[in-house]
Amino acid sequence: MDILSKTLDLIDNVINDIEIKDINFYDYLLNLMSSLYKNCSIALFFYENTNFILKSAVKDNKKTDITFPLSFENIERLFDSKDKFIKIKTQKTDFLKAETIVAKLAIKESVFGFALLSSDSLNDDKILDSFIAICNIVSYKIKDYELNEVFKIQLKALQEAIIEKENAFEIIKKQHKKLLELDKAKNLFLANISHELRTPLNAIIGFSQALDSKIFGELNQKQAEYIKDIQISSLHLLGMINEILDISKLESNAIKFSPIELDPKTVINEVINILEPLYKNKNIKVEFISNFNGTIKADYQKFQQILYNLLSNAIKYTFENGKIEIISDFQNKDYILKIKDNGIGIEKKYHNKIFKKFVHLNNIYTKNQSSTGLGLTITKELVKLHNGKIFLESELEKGSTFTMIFKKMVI
Amino acid sequence: MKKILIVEDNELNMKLFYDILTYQNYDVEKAYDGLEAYQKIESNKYDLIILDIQLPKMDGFKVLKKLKEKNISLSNIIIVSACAMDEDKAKAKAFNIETYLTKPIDINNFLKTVKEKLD
Repeated sequence: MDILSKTLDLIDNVINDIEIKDINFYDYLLNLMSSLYKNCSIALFFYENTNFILKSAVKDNKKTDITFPLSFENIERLFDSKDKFIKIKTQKTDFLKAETIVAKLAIKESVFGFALLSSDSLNDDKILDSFIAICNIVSYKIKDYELNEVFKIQLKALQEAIIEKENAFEIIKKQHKKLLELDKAKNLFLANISHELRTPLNAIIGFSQALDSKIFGELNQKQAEYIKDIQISSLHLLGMINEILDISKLESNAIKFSPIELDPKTVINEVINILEPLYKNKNIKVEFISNFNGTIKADYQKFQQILYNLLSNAIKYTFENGKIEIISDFQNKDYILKIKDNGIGIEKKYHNKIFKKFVHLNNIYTKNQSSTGLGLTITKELVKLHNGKIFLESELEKGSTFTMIFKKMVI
Repeated sequence: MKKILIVEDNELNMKLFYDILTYQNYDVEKAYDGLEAYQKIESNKYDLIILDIQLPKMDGFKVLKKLKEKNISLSNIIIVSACAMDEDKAKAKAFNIETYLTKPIDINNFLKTVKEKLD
């Protein structure tokens, strides 16, 4: 065992100094094995690229290197063998004057192995056993070293990956914070815009109303007509400003929800009255079907806004002489509200889209209708605020029905 | 003749309020910023004050705060502002000011509110 421990020490030293795949290392191993088995011919084989190389040391210390290409299949067969020993019959029968080579494959996955070439020693069990033992230990030692190297590389890669991940996490965290700040800035900006636009609008609407009220004198027919036009446009502009403000409020959770007990009939009739000039103008028939006579818990202003948005939309997208139905209903404690029109309808592919922000459905009917594309988004959010859900059933050219179900709203 | 103070920094809006209120035979005075408003309210007696929120030098809420500190009644004040956020309305409510009109105002509604407040 002295020889063994000495060998292992030597290998330990050498693998720290020489690269495993270095050709000198194989020479060193070969010399080592030769010195241990003085009376034997030893060969060491390894792969280099696609070549199978046999390095051999014979009794008289004459060295031969043989390199021959091995097909992938051959290599596979060589290393997949379950036998402890592999007999390699070389094509060159004069190779080291030996008919057979007995090789111990160091490790299946490893790049090298040893072979004992002398046919005399093959008959000596003692030599053979010790040879196998040494081969095993040497190969495991080297395997261990290789694994260590692989482990070190992997550890380094892992550490780098962790650092990278930490950096990525930091970047994401920073970006997230930035996005939140940007969103806050956007909402503030929208609130400011709303404020800045309201100030001049106050003068436009106020002066035109002052003229319209004729307190400062009569107007001729054209002047009166133009004043009305200014007012209609101003109110339209105000509607859009309100929508922008509403969405910024909803998104920044700055909206206040104050539910009270109310009779939906009152609110529905109120909204119908407000919008009367619009639907009368198109000769649309608005019918209110009330199947519910109780009270509900809702935010008055917001419930009114839901109705206003849906009814004004229905008027907008219904043909002249069309018909709109508002159905107030309930089921147990749930309050159900439907706005049904026989207008232009919405194609199925747009059904999910229309509740999204800034969506305009471009078709010939809506070409002349300007809007922010926020109305239905706001409506959906307001319905949600009331613990409700909104659904759309619609078919092109046949009309649309918006159904809202408010959970446990009935008092 | 009822005396009204309009606090408004926008020239055209000031003109609008001034014209329609004087037409209704009110005695109308103007203040273009918060400081001027505070000084006028402190040294004069008004039947009604129409107060804006965003003002130069001192904003509307600061005016209210200073008046409250001096124990000057705020009961004759209405707010007419372009700030349409709920938090501004809540702030006004904290000063016990119930009338908060958002610009753009409907002048018929505005005149009705003024009249009710003065009666």
